[in-house]
Amino acid sequence: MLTQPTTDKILLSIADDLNSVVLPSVTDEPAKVLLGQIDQLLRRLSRRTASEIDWMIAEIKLINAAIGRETSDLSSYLLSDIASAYSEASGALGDAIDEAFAEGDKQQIAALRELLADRIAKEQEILGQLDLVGRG
Amino acid sequence: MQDPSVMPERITALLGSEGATDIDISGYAPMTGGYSRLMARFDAKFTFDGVQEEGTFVLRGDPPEGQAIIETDRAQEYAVLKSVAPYLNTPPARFLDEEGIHIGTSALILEFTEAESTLPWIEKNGISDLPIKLAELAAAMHTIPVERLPNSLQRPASGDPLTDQIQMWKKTAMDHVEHLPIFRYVAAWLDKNRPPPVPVSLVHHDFSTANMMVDGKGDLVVIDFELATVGDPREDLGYFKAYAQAAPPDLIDENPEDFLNRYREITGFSEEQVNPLVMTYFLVLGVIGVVSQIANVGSSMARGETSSTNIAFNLDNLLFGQAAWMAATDALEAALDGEVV
Repeated sequence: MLTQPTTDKILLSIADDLNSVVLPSVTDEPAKVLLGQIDQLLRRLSRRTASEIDWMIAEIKLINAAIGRETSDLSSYLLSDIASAYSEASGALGDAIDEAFAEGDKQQIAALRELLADRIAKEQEILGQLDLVGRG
Repeated sequence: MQDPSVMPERITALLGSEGATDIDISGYAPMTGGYSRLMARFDAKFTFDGVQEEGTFVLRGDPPEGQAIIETDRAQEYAVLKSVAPYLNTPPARFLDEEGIHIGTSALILEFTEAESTLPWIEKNGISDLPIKLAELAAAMHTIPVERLPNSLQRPASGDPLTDQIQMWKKTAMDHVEHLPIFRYVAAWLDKNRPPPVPVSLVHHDFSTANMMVDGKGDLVVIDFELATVGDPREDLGYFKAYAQAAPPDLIDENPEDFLNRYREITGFSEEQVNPLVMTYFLVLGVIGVVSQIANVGSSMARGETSSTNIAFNLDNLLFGQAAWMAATDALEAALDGEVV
């Protein structure tokens, strides 16, 4: 398997070519809007694909630590398997949030909120700047 | 709907089925900016109810099956447009092809308005008196007698719009293809910090500069009622602010007190019921109608039931929302604790 250039670099290159070569030759307005969306998505995917598995594994461990669960060894590093484990941990985090609010446990609410703030920081890193392509 | 070679004939068939005669359709051209629906403009001459008409119209229809980023009902949109027309500055709806018998997809025809999109207008003309006009537009919409609205319009199932909306946050989190703990947090926080109630009214649910234009008199024109329901009117104020964070300027923030004073004056709401903190609460609560639709169709794409760039793009943009909602709950928490925000 050829791993270089890495997927993130190739996606970025495709986005650059779409933007600089394809877009100027397109006159159809709906197609321009679509290209604008594709450009943004490719740039976000480029940032995401470089780090998402590592980010999800790290966050699973943080969530488990915060809600008092053991982190079991991951049997697979396939993206779909890691995403599934991440969703399961996210569900447990959601349950802990509901419980903390129901009990009025301010300290636990603040601790769980910190986890969410960390997640949002990662998401912002992926997103870059928002451009609502296609909206008036 | 995207093929100008066949659409004039289809529109002619629709108008003819409604009783129009001497129909001449020309200049059919797809439009951008429809976001969730396909749109096209065309010129038409016809005789209807014995009156000769000539003008420009807009055809607004559903995209091909599986490509819509949100699922809404053209017949209900048509009924809402008819019912709000006496109260609001909005292009009148004229014809409906509910089943898509003539157009090929469920579609309605509206009169075209020469008004300009709001953000380009502001770039050229500045903010002007739009904040007060926005207050008047919102208040006009929120004081339409509920009994004048179509019966088909969704009412709060629990009898309390806040309960319904909070439940929708929870349901969206639970139904999504992956767990959404930020949604769970927001739902729990909203439930814990409810403001005093107000009477229910029409809620636009996509009340933003993207669905407003400015006409030749400098008045705001409101469009696109496809997501309208009966609910808590403050949802629209919150949604407006949420959208403005992503696509500034925030016309309310230009002078919040002037805006709120005018809005309260027309609606009769008290300062306790509508104030900057309450608007921030609804900034979070009020987006769930659109957000749940985007999340639902995103789940469908993840399951392989549908696929489009537009769906992926809009789902991804929910991440901006998550950051905004959490920031808003932070600010409110600090304000409710008596800290300086």
